[in-house]
Amino acid sequence: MSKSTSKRDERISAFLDNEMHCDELVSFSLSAEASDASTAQRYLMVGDALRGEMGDASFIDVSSAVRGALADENIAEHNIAEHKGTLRSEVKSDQPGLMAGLFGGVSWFRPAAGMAMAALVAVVMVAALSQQKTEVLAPVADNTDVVPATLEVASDNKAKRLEPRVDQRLVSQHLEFATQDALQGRLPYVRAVSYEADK
Amino acid sequence: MYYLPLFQAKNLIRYRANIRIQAVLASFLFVFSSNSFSSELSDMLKRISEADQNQNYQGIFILRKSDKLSTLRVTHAMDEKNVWETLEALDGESRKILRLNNSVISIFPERELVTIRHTNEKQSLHPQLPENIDKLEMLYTINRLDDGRIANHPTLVVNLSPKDQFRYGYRYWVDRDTGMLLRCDLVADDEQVIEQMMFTSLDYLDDAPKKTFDIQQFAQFEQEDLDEPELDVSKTIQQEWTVNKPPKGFMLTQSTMRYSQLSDAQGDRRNNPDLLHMVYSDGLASVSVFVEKNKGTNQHLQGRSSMGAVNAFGSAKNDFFVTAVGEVPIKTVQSMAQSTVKLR
Repeated sequence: MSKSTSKRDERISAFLDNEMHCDELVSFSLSAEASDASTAQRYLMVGDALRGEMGDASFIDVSSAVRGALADENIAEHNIAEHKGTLRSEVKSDQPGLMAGLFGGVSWFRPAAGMAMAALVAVVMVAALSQQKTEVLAPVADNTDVVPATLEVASDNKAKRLEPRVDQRLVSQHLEFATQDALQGRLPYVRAVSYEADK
Repeated sequence: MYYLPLFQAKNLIRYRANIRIQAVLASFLFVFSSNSFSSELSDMLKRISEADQNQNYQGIFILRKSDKLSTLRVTHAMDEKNVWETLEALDGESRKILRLNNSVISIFPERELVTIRHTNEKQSLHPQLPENIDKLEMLYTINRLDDGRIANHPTLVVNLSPKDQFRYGYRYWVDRDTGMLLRCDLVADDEQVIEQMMFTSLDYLDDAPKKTFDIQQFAQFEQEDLDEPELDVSKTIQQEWTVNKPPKGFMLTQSTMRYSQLSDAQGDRRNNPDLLHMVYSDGLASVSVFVEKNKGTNQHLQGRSSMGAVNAFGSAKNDFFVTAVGEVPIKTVQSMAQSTVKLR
């Protein structure tokens, strides 16, 4: 393993562990490569295996996803070039924008940026998948139109499902009014005041 | 032998209490010697309710919800004029809840906050017997388990096991002497206890204890009024919505219009209540079905949510949104939310 590759792997590890400084994120994202995705996947699988948390998401072929993403990117790029090539070159030559100014308007920038973004998306996808499989998903009955409200990423980079929250007011009203129709000793009252305090 | 009448007079209350206890015991003996439980179970549950009302006591109990455990100290008293009760949290954030007749005052010293809520007369300190209690035997298999002991008090143990998967099971530990409910477990179909209330110490008192709380000392705290305008809950509103196929045994017991926002309820310009609240109960479990205007995807619970024994499910119905909430399995609230329909 070359020194540069090792350093690159360290940065991927830092990215996955959420230990990368925000300033580094920009340069990391711009320099992302397709091979980063497989490296990231490998790291996550090793981590999962050590923790005994191997799940289906560990075996998703991210490399093919990256290839697909790159292929899509090229096709899109190709189509854009075909249909808008003339117009784009005119715009670039007449009004060099910020991106063109930064990169000198060179023709290789867009495909390269596309590849970098696709690779970065793949890395992020691997990270997201690894987080997703740590969630404990309770069985869902058939025909459920469940839409989780949000996902919360904890500071230790372990994502946990933030339970979709029902309107607290509805729960309060239920506990206050509805359970009077049921007989569970003092449990409904205690449940209600306890919920009120926990809000 | 003049001392005997005097002695009897002095202990008249205790004598009456003994009579009551004997009646409780008699009813229990009858309950468990009979093959049919329905009316006897009703009597037992009624005794549980009455026992809680008629006793002065102090104790400590735990409340377990999923993996969360709370410990609370309770003092319950009744005198000629009032029924009052204090609950004091012994762990976590300090808080004290005072219930005086129909007022519930919660004090949060660390937050310097006092919340006040007044409940209507129907919502007494003690739960009311459900109307369809005699049908419980159709929904639950009821049997007596081996006697137990809770907080050093001998108990009868009754198990109510659901006959389908639309409700939780209940396990009651009832004080053999007083009929008071000392422990109550909510049990899922895998026999896992999902919610539990249990006394760890309990002392019955001959007389009402002195009130040890002084609300005035919290006068400088921020006060939050949780009251809503009086709503006539006894008046059945014109029914526009219904749960098409409620699980077996669940009957509509309340139908009320409420406010979806507390600010709407308390503001100077009160809007019309905009939240339909229907309550379905099987006698032990209850489910609230709320119907309101659909405010958009991110404004409502879409799908399911769990908070200990309480489950909720939200489902859009075109311009309206239905949310079912109850201490029942998720499939029950899901089924009820999804089968809620507009009649016209």
